Amino acid sequence: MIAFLFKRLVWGLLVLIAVAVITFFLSRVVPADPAAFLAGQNASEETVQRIRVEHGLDRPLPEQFATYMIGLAEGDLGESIRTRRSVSTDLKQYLPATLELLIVSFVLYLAVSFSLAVLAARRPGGAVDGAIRLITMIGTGIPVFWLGMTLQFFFFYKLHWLPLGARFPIRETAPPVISGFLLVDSLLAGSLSAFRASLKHLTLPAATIVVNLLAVGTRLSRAALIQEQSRLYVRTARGKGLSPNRILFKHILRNALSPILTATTMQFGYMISWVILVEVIFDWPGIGLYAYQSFQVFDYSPVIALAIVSTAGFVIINLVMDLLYPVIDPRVQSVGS
Amino acid sequence: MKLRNGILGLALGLLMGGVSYSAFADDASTFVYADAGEPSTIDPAKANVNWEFTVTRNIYDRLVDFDLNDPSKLLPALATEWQQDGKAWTFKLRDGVTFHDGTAFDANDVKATLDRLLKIGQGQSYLVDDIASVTVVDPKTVKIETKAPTVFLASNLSRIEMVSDEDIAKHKDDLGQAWFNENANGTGPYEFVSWTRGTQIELKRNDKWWGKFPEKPFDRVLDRFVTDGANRARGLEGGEFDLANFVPLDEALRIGTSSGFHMVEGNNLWAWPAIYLNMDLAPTNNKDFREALVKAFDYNAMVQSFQGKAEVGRGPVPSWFPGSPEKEEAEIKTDLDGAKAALAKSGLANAKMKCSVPAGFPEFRFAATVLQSSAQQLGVTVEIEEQPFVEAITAIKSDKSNCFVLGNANLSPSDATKFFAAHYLKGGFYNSGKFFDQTLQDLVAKLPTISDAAERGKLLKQAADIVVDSHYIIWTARPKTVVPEPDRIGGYRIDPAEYINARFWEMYSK
Amino acid sequence: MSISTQPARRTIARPKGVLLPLALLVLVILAAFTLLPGLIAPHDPIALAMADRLKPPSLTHIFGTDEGGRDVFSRIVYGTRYSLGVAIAIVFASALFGVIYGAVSGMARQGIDNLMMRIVDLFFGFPALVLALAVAASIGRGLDSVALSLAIIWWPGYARLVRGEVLRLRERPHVEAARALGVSEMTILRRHIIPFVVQEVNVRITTDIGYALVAVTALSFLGLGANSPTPEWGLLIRDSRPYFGSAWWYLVFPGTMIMLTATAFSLIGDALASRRAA
Repeated sequence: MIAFLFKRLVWGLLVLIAVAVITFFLSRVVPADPAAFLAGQNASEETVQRIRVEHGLDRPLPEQFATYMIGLAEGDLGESIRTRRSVSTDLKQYLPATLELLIVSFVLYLAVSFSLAVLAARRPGGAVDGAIRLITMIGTGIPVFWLGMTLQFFFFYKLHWLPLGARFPIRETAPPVISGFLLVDSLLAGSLSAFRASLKHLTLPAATIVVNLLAVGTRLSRAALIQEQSRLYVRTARGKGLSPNRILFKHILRNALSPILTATTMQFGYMISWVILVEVIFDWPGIGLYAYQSFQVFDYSPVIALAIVSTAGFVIINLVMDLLYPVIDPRVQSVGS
Repeated sequence: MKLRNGILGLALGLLMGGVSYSAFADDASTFVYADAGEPSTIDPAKANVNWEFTVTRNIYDRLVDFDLNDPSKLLPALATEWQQDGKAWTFKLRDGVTFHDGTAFDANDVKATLDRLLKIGQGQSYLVDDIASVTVVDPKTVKIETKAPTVFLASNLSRIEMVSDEDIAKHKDDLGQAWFNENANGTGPYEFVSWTRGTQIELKRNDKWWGKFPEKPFDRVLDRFVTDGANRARGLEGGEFDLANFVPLDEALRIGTSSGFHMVEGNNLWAWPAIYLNMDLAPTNNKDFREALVKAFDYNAMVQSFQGKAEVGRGPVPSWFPGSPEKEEAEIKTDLDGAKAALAKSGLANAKMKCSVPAGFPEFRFAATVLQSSAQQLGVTVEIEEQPFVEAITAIKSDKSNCFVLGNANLSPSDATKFFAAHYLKGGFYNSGKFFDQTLQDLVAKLPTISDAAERGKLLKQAADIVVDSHYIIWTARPKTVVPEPDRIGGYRIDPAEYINARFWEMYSK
Repeated sequence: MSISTQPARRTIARPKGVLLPLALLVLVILAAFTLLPGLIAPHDPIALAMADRLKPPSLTHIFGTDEGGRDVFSRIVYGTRYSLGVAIAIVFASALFGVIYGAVSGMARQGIDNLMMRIVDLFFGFPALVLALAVAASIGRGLDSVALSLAIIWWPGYARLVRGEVLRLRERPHVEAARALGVSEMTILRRHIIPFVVQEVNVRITTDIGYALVAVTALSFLGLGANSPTPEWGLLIRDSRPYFGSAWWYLVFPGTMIMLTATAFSLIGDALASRRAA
């Protein structure tokens, strides 16, 4: 077990280093000069040169790379030219917003896809099943940016039900930052109205992400449900007089969960890309918007940082999943064996 | 079920604990401005783009102001009187002005500000880079000497914001660069409160300000960073924002004429798509070829794309600019036959060229599209690539591209030479196509030294003609700026010599 | 970047009724758009016609016009070969590489197999958009850089799918028997494994074209893809953004087109899958 964990960790580390190396060199092939951006328009050539030296941009690429990797080993992700702060400081600020959106979306995704699957699995091949399949399929075919804009148009512009973007009502004071998760911070500040407001702001961005993923989740849960329904132990459970709901949740959900989780892990890179788009459309101040804006002015470090953070997230999730499988799915035995 | 109860319990428990936080305050006096981006810095010595000016403009004051209706007319601000004597300018400073932290404003602040600005050499320092020395005569008098006599110094100082010498002294290791990047202490109408990264900067009204506020001014201002133009338009229309920057023109016209809104229109140098042609790279290094492009360009298409709210420029200096030679310049219009003749002369039929367009500005992209379509009528192929600003300007500067589109922005209210220096002189930052003409260099150097306005006007026309005749630039159109303002507020005015900007101290609720 | 976990076969339902014919009809229309745009499009997709700027849908312009007075329908028709063409290229290139990689990995010794699959894992966590940003910046913005970066992200899905199939098929009795008879590994691969894998991959390719299309348009939307005046669908949506309040048609039709196309490919992929299962 420990050997397995160790192997996994070493591999994860290697992956991270590989990603850091690749993104570093990819980002430096860019023809533009970040010093020119930093110096600003109208700055003289001398000023640009001075800034180039100050930021070590005049040094040869291998040296810049060495400096970067040494910094990375110490947890230093470099400095953002656009925000003029260290990327780690920026990430600390922007990461909770993204995580909150991702977590809420994921929970919503599981809930909705599982409910749809339950409906669909009642009569496989029936009209409801077909309709759900078609709807989720269309959901996946809608470009996420287009969906976001359309939802904004109806729910903000036409109906005035939901806000246009951002995390909290503009004119109001957000709760004091403790965890960075507005839902949690609202509760910690004891304000249910702030909690509701944050939830309202989460609705459209989360819905946009969920609609796009739904087809996979529903399909997998439905398949698992149908398979599990026919299994012996369900019949046994029924025989023991357990209520249908208990059967559904205790047994079937548990068994359906693991393929869904596996599929979602595989979709992680995909989801991160979608999150960038959603953050751009909804002005969601998370790492996606941060990296996107930085990219637009050739600020490399945040973009590399996003790649590293997202890969790290992927590695960690995989690790956790490996450890969790025996817990979630009783059929899988401990990973060590 | 259990989990939900747990959370509710936690919430209620905390509620009982009596945390004093209330999200929903009375906000009648809050003004929400949707700005097009997040500042990279709020240091007035470095502020360079519109959304940085929005913040510094309202926190800091300048020595002089200018009349928005007549930019040649200067108005007192932190200085109440000024006069030029050859290379020396003397400014008398206003009494009783204090910074937001309570310290008094005096001549030492002016000297420290200007010394720091010139040492850093960024932001708007190019406007006053002809300053040789700044001397404190007495606490209320400051003397500024320039390298050569210049009539424009006071006018250019109307763009320079004054900081406190104590703040500079306190952070002298790096000229205060780190501190000023994200802190602010000015004498201006609004005080800096906080900067929530990725979201907004909050300001509050400085009721000890020396100037005058209108009735019912806004006590709290939220400068929101809303990167997407469509979102700014939608939020303004839906009432989330009180005012928005860079609303796409079609949306601005529609919103401005809808009920609950009115339109503020004016001249502004911002979205003024000018196409710069590379003087060093084939085929645009050929003068006849450039002439063919200038003559083939469909100026009407541009005016139509601005829904008629635009005119066609005749050169680099717009008509409302003090001393502009525009009226005497020849009209520029589409002349396909002339274009074909010029192209034949160049011998470059079927040439191909590349155009780098800074991304994010629909009018720039459209100008390039029009060039593409006009050039096609000559048999010339134009390939467009939209790129981030720095990458686009690097492409043309490093001869990887033949053309570049830029909004022609002159940030001095009456000094055209600064604009010429940045755009048409050797080494100028925006002189992306590397134009060079010795006569123009000499003219621009001479212009500020001449005290007679009529004489200056003559030289300015000569300078403008040199640029026009070189066919270095295609002035695609000069649109009017249109800003929709909700009927519930008033006071917005368009500043002709600045990017589209909000002067929060002039805004009021009705 | 694609969805890799296949549900158990017998649980796949077959699309019913009119859906499949409709999907096929969409496919035929798309083929016509791609092959004969000149015959179908009523107007020039590139030439400016400022007098017709931002006109709502009418009989002459059924999808309205854009900011240059160009017919949106004609632009969509001409755009098909760019948007869909790139999507198809990405999927085929990834499939080709992924199949070879997956087959090699599946047939290789366990150590090599493990290493090869670990390399595949690397790509699953890598955000496609970040790669696309870097590629666009280094080789220039255009459909070629979109194709390259998406193909890099896409092939691991195929590699994993194919390896799984190969491992499964290898254990089959008839393959074991062939091996016992001394048939070479190459022959086994060619005769007993590849044909089955190809069927599986076909299903996947069909569904993936829709997803790839959505991804291509997303990159164009962010300004990393096609350049003006190419009528690529994602670029149309990007260009339409500043006019949404005044010209809904300009945004709505290209988006609908992407949605219809992606859904049609999904439906057909489903039909193929259920036929395999039957």
